Amino acid sequence: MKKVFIIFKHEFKEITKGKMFLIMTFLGPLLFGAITILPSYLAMKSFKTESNSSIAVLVNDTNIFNYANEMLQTKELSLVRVETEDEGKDLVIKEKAKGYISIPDNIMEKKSINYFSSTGTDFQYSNEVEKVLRDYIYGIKIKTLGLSSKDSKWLSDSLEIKSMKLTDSGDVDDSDYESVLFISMAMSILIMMTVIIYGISTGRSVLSEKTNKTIEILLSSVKPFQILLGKVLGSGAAGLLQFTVWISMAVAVLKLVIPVMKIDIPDSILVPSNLVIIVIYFILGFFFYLFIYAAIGANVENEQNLGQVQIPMQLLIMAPIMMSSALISNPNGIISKVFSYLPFTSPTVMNTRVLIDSPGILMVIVSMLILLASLVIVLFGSAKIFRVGILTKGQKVNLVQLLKYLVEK
Amino acid sequence: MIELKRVNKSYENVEAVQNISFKVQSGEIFGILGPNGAGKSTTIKMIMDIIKPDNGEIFFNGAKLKESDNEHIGYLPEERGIYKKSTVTDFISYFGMLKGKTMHQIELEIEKWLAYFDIQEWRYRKTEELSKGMSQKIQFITAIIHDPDIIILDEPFSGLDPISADKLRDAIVLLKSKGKTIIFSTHVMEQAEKICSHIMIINKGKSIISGSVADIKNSFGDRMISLEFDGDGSFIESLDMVDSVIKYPRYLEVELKDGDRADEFLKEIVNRISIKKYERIVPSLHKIFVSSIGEEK
Repeated sequence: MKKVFIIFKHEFKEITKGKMFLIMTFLGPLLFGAITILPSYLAMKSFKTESNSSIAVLVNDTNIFNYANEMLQTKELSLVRVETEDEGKDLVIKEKAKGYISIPDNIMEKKSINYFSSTGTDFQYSNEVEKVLRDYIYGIKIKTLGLSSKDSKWLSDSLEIKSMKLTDSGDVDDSDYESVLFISMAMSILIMMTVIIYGISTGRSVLSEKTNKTIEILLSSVKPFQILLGKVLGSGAAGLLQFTVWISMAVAVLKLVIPVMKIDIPDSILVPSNLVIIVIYFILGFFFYLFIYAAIGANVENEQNLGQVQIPMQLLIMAPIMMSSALISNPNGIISKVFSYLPFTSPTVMNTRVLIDSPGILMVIVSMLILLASLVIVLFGSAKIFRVGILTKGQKVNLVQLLKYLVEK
Repeated sequence: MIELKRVNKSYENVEAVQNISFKVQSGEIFGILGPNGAGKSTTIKMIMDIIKPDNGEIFFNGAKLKESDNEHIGYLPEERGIYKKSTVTDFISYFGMLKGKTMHQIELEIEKWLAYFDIQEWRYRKTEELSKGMSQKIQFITAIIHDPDIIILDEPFSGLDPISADKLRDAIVLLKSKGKTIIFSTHVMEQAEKICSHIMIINKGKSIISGSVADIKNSFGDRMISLEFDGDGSFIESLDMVDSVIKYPRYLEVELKDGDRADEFLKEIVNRISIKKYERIVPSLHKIFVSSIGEEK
């Protein structure tokens, strides 16, 4: 055990002493935020209209024009009245107007009218015009029917359906579950990222002993199993440290963001029991994959070979994220249930289910036991493959061959 | 101290080591000699417990080799590696600790050996900055940092320049003087000749000759003649009493079929070439090696 600890310490130090580790630990969440939040923020921002933009309109009815112009000015948009269709389209082509619309005299009978723009996709402008015209037509209709403003308000009232969560105990939770979805997705992506980053790092570390030709010196002092254990635990500890920092930063950011953005996170989801379950799944799943990656690292010849052989592994890790919409929309469906029991997917699927659904304690225990048993099997299987691979030279290994080593004596 | 009894190892269709037995006593310098691919490294890796023999037994101090014995054995593999991003001290210390030594013990040994090789100023430098010769010295220090009783060196002289090779040979002699047992493999006979007390010649996985260098040389008898001459000596090889000839630029080593025919040989050549030197000699290890491997073929 002492030798395992020496290798563990060496591995942990090797990973954490580099500048890259510090950069990834503290800038990783920013990067993560940049690739997940920034695109949606930019998309949202681009959905707003630019102030002082104008839209060309061909209309005979001055009442409509005045009403629409007045309403649009509250959105910092203005209407430019044109005499002909060509004049309107010309303004669009010369980018003097965001769009052009022709309002016919018989607008009350029309079901649709055309809006022209240079992109055809800047719906934010056509939406504003549409809203204004609808309001105008609605007002005319109310007036024609002779309804009072009270009646018109009553007429425009619509029904809203609100989603509520009914827990197993029968309690009703009316919290905002969009934020829960966001948290569970972010958690899954974080777990996936940590597993992939540290999986590849472990595989590479084992491979480097072969390419550096230091493996024989190591083997003259320690058994292959001790090397495997020391390397995986060392690399795993570095991964857990980084993950803890990331989670702490995420919690700190959420604490700052929640009051500002008025996000309603249900009290029932971030309870200690859920967090304990998530942590256990993460640790078991993390080491489950790390042992597989270490065995792969021992059996490949170079980085390129490592990259190829680990692709199926990466796809398995990413499968729950790729199928997230099916899992979230139907957390009790067959796909979700199967993924909850498979050791390759249960760490990410179960943490989502624990947060958005109540899978039941029995299911959690069974799934956890399967994952634990799989971890033990993977540990001994990896040790076997590791022992054969670590001394093998000049052979390009594929997954089929790895499985062959497993069944060999 | 180390004994192998009828050890065998096969890889798929190749019998790498066949029925090898030998014994290395405490304080000996034992050379495992053989051409490339003879099975030297496989034999060494089995002693180091890196690979398991298919059958046969290996003993350390009279008892079957066990895991903890590796703390008493130092090993320099043929394929020597280094962690390029580590400092010299970190690299050596890591492997020293894996051999069960404390940091304090390791520090003292590092100090001593860096001074011996005159490379103290490299102590805290990264190993990637070292020259090839210096890296090899660091790898040698790493192999012996835990002050082992037995030191196993696989092709220690390969790739070394003459000065570094001399320095390493001196280090081996120094270790022997301290009572260490040294086993090393090589295919460079001149090095083995200079330092080995005992040898085993191995070819195609089989042990051909094994024993003390003096005994082996004596067993080859007085059939060797060293001859320096002027003139065309090409006829010598075809003489009836000559078994084989090793040609060097300025002289020949002639092996006679029978030592008693030395005078007859001299009479045959004396009138055909101008002899500068005629000496009856014991065979060199190189000669023994070449003869043994030749007979095997």
